Amino acid sequence: MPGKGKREEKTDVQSIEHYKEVLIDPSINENKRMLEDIFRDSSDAVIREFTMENGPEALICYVDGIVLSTAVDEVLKSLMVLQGNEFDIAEIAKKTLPVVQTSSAEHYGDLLTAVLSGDTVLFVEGSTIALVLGLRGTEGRTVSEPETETVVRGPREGFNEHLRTNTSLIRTKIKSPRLKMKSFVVGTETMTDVVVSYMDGIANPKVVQEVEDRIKRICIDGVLESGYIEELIQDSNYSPFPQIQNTERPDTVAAALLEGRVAILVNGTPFVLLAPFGFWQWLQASEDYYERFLVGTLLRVLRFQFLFIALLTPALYIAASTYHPEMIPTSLLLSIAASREAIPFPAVVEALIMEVAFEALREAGVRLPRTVGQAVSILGALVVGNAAVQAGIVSAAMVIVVSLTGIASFTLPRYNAAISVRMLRFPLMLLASLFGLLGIVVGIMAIIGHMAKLRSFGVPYLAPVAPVSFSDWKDIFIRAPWHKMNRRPAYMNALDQQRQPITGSSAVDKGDQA
Amino acid sequence: MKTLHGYIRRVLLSSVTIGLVIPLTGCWDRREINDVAFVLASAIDKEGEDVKISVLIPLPGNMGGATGGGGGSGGKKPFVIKEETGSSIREAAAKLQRGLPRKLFLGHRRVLLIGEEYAREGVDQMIDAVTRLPENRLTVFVAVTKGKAVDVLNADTRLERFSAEAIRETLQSDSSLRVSLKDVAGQVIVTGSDAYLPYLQLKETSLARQQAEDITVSGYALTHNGKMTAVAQERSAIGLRLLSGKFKPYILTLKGKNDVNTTLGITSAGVLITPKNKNGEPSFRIEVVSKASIEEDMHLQRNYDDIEQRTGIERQVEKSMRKDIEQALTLMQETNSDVLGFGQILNRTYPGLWQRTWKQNWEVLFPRCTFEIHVRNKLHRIGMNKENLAKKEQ
Repeated sequence: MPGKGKREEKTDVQSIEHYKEVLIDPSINENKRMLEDIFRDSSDAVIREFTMENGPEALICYVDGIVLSTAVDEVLKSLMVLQGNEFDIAEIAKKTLPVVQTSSAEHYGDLLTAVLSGDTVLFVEGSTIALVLGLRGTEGRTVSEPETETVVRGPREGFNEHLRTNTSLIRTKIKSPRLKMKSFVVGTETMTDVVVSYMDGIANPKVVQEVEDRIKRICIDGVLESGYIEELIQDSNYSPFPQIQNTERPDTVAAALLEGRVAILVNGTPFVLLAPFGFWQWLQASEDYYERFLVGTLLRVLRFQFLFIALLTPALYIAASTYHPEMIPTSLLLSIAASREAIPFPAVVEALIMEVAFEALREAGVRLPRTVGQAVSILGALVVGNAAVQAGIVSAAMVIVVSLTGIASFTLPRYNAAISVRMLRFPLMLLASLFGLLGIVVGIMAIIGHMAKLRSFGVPYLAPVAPVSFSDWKDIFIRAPWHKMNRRPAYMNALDQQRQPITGSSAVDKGDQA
Repeated sequence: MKTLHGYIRRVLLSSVTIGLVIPLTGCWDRREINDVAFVLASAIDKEGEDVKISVLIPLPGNMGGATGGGGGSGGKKPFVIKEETGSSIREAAAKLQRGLPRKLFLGHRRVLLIGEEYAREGVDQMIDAVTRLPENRLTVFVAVTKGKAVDVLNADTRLERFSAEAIRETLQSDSSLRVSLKDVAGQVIVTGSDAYLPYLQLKETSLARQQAEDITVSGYALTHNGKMTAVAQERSAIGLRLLSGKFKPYILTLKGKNDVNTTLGITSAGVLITPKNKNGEPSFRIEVVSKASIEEDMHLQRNYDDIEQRTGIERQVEKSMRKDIEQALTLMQETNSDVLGFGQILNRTYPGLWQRTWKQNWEVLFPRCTFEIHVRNKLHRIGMNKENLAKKEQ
């Protein structure tokens, strides 16, 4: 809206693209006019002109609030008392300024990017080069426990919205020069910092290259969350299944990097993307690796069953009760018949009512303030659980089916995967009501067929089960003890497969990383 | 844009085509549980020249579920029995269906009762009617009832909600031999074997305020060529059970002098039937090895440390069991009902001879067969007490 008004004025305020080729003028006054024009109506931009002692005019420009103002003061102080006659900009950077990160800019494009990201620029009269001083400092949230992925045992730190904090959290986990963090800027207006992180020599360079290429190809005005990046770089847009993992946990990212996967960090969100992502990672929770392997295996086997329960229970109930009553044990069938006697709806309508009610409750619970959420859950339990059964609108058997399904869908550690399972439940229920078990089988075959076709950054979605790679099965249906997991997952095509010597000792492992 | 348009067109067209094709198959067998009458048991009786079928249908509304309009388990019975006659079983069933608002569903039938009168005319037509429908289970328990089968079906057993459940539990308990429809069908179609079925009888409890009708297995109905010929009861029933190869533990009381009886439990018995060919005449050697345990002993002076007394009991058991087996065999031979499949045993041992000569003459040969019976018994357990605790100290 304001853009339209401005377009009619003498000079347009353009996006940074427009200034890419504009050279810096040697004259301070010209630069000042230019900057004032660019930052017109921007009260947070500071343009400060000053004179160096015994020297030329200079100009400093930064955006207030995202710089360390004390450090800027320090810079000004040291420039204002500059003695001698070394006013060359390169010399100033070398000798005078108490700043670690400095770089130079020749074009307005680079310069503006730096200023808007929190850097400070210094112009000196007569120089066509501006000095960029890295004095960034923003107020951020402290590192706190991740809310979406809690664990009983494991690190309690989670990413926050500040990119540097997030990279530092990973760096403190992996103190290796092999850990690379490549920086990109995405979004023509938001200029969001994106970091692609991988282990050099472990991650497959083709995967890394593919991730980088896809990120470079993005051409969008703004990236506010890593979800934008995920949708813009994923392999198949119309698939119900997520092809990129997201996590709030630095330990999960570190583990993925060590497996040869690539992490994508986006400034402004605690959710880091991990690629490639396959079906079997749906069931791998970080805690599996922290508990003893027997416990991890048990939990994984349970989760595998819950996946099927979450996907199939309502469909199986509908199919068995409307098409195949001979499959239900007689006494159970009589109980179901007794509870269904007064129900006015067919089983599929009953199931849909209950499932929709349950999804509504869940959504309300997420969206509402925590204090109200409690009331909603109590209300929901009463209305859906008790009153509906007593009023004879839904049968008790259906309440059991739906609540079992709901609980099972919450056991999946990947939220985005759990949502896709919940989503697929509905078509399966319709298929079951139309064609019985036959419909369910057709539905499952369609799902598996689609999964088999799906790929995530060149890695088959069902790997290592399809295509088969038996050596990787020790981290699929079970979680093998650590001393047996000597090698990285082969389906990730890591360059360096060896994780620990076959004999397996932690001391040697440490040496390998250095 | 044009390709996207074509894509959508194709998807729409193919889904419409599939949607039209599916109803054309006409086999949409969807029915809600509320629209189905589950048959838990049925009975077949002779009614003059016609067949009468009766079905037991549970009433979910009367079963006291969470919903329901009352759920009184006190007064109303939780099931109904509907009956209808027809000139064939399927005709009667179709007529029955016409009068019912719900679809009869036979997939959960667990018991099929046949009235004695009908069974004597032959169970083979019944087998055809039942096995033709895929809904019917071949694992359904079959039994012949004394008198009308519907009376047994209508028994007020009190202990179970449905008489069907009571009958099923009885038929698969130790007091009976499990006989399912597929066993009967399998035995009826083969020359050299006949079917036997449990024979059910009503037993009334007439104690005041405790009136109930219990259903017991009082013996086994023997058939020949699908027609019921006789009932093996008492000793011959025990003999039949011993020889059937499906041993179930049972109780045997040895009568002593002055009513001093000893009751033993026969805990296991193995049977070995060896056919022999004596100059073209088949004969059989039957060996039974069994184990017995003392359940109750009235003999105060019994000394189990004395080997003589123990072997004495063993010999008595052997004698009694041999008598049971002889009686069973005699009954079978008298009625020419080869329910143990002696013919099939011959077929397996002398296949050539059986096919060439014996098979054709089996009707004549079986009653003439001779049996050589050897019974061995071991007393292997005398219980917790060595001697009767009531015995006075000496």
